[in-house]
Amino acid sequence: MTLDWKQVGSPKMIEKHQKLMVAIYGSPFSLRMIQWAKSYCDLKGGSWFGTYVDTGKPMSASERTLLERNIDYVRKLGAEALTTKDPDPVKGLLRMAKQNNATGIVIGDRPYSRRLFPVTKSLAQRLIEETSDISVHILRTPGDWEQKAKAIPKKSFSFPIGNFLSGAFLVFTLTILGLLFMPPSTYHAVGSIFLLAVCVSALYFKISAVIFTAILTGLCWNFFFIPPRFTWTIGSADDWFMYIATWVVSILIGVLTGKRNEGYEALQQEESKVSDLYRLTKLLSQCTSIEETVKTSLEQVRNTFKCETAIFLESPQGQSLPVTWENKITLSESEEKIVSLAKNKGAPAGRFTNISPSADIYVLPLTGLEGNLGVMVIRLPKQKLPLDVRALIEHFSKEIGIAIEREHFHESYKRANILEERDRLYNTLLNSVSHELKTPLTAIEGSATALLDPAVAKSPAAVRSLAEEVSMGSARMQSLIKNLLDMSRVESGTIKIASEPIAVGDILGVTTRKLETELAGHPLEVHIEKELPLITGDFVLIEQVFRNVLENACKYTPQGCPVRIMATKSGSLAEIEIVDKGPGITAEPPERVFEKFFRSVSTSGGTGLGLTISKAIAELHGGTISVKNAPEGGASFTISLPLAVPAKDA
Amino acid sequence: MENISILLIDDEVQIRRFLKVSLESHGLRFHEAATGKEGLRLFGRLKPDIVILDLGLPDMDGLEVLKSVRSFSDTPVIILSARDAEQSVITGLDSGANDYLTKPFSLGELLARMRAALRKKPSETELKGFQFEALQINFESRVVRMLGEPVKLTATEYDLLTFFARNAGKILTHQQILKAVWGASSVEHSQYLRVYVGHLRDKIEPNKDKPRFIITEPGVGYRFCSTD
Repeated sequence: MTLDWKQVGSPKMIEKHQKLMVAIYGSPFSLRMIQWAKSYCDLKGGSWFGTYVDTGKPMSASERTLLERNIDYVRKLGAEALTTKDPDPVKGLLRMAKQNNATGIVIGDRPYSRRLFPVTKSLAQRLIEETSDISVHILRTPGDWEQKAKAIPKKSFSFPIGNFLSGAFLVFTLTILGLLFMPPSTYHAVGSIFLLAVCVSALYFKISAVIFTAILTGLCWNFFFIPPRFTWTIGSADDWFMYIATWVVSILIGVLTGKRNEGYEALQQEESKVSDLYRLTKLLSQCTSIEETVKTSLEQVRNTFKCETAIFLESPQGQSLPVTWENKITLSESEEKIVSLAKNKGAPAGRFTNISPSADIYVLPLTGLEGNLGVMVIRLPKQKLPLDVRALIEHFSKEIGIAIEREHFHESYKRANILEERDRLYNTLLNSVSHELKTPLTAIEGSATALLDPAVAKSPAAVRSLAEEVSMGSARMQSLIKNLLDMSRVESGTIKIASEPIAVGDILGVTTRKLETELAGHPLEVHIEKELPLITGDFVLIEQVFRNVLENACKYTPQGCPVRIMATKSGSLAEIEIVDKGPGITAEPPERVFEKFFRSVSTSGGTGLGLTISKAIAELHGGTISVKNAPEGGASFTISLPLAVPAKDA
Repeated sequence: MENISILLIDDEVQIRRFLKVSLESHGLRFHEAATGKEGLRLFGRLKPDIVILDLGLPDMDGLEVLKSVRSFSDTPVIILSARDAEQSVITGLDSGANDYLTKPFSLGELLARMRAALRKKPSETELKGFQFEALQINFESRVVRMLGEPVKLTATEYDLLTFFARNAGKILTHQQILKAVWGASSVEHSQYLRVYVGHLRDKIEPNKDKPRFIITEPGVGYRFCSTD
């Protein structure tokens, strides 16, 4: 860069890491300043950012365009472009520099001889003087560029007529009152009252009106009150001093309070911007789904910017997701083209950009850490958006993008968890099945091969016993396979229930017959309520449920332990309770026994599916199965099934 | 049961092998077919005393084979099915099969079923009485005794009991029972049957909760006084 460059001031300490702040203007030179800052940082190491200070002065259209282009340029180069409002550019720059921990400020300056008013200090000089620990990098500007920033802000062009008239009115009223009521000797007091009036006007009027009021009070005071009265001359030297001092004071008051008010206004605007952003992030952090996030975002954007808005999201594969929330915007065909362009490029389009800048819509991409998530479309009111509002919209879009991405991550995480869980179950099942099948197979293989042994085959008793082993092993395998098949039918919902009227006693009769061997060591008591009505259901399935529970009662209780079955009518249900006097349920809570693959530790064999299937069957019939530890010890299972609704008179 | 000839129609090699070994060691003459067509051909040629038919055949529906056999013969047929209480079993029984077995089955079960099926069904006039353990029925005097003590039965209960007795050891579907005892129009009213079976059990079973005479075959029907 062949710019003249001067560095003034020493940085806080010799920092390895520089952070430069470039002042951005609406001028062509500003672009070169930006480029210089980037090159400097690339060369010497360090980071940089740009700042624009909005002093509230109106800009020409070309200036504004240049300014926006420069700001975009800063961003394109990968740095941040900040904006702030401050009537005094020096104060604004310094504030931003301090806030963002800049170690140096880059500004431009005209050669001394070219300045129009050599007496006034240039921006650069003032900056140098007011900063002690931030270095200032001054780039000499070409002569034809006019430095816009002056030391003292000009008076604003707007003419608050209302304020002027009020000021005049106030002064004249006070003058008349003073003339009527105050004795001539109290002109000092009158002066104080006028001063008070100026103070009051400073609170409510614009700066120009305040100064006008100050001047007017001075003149009135002189003419009407200070002796000699009704003349412009002032008698004594004391009075002169007093008069001049009071003048100065009143003008100072006006100027200072005016400046302070303007400063306040700027601050308030900044504050409202910050609180808008804060509100958005707070509400977004409370959202728990993508739909909620988008809904909240749309609401906030609408409320804050008072415009129509819509959000279109893309799936990770790049397809548009269906719009399931209210996008209160209808796009014309050309507008839709702009939107898809923005989506594909991942860049803003529409107004304020160089893609269709005359469009009514402003399309912002929503991006997260991992790329494009979609776009946000804003339909703007006809007038131009102030730059800081535009910056706020961009901030909003960033926050929204992050929030949406967060929800995407959350959903992926949930899905991964579900898959993990499913894998875990499959593994458990596989392990369980292979183990369960191996055990009886071992018995069968062993016994069958033993039967082939001629020595063994000689003894009929041995043969008999081995053959029984084979038979039992196969029975066990059969029941295991049935369990697995039932479980998979239950899971896939393909289990069909026949629906006939059946008698509970009938079912229990079959069950007790099937479990004859198991019940051998357990005295069984069966009490079925007399005239217990029929239940509706599938005989085979319900018998399976009873058999499961009764078999468990035999398996998990010691030999000789009695089992009791009671069937009673309870409202519109038949309740069948199977109680034993064994050790009871050790699982905590007892309902855990119905979980898939749950097995009590003390057991040998079984897949842990029996009770799960029983529960599913009971529920398919519109009934329930529950478990508890009986008060006198032992486990108690209660199966409730709906009674058959009598069709007609039987 | 010597000198009886059996025709087994089943496509599974293992079943045919095990049955051949077991049944021949009981002195029975054993013939086998692996497909329905082959089975029907052999049936026509050999005219066996009893047929064991697997419903799950590769070339034609087992029920079709059954219907073919029934169309010209009363030979007892026992059907084999892979699952309990399948609809095909009920249809088979209603179409004329004498009994059924679910795979896997034991030899003892098969022999009992076969015996029951081969028992000549006595005509109405021939059968004078029935006796099984402590149960006695005198068809002529219409008296039923349990452990020597007479049992009071309603007309329907008696009809039901006698129908059971005449078909002792055989599986009877709900439909068959309803048709025989209540008439052809009542085949949908299976709740009648349940209720009456319950009443009958109350009266003749020594232990109602552990039925000895009237055995429920889940999903299929009832079997009376089985000798399994």
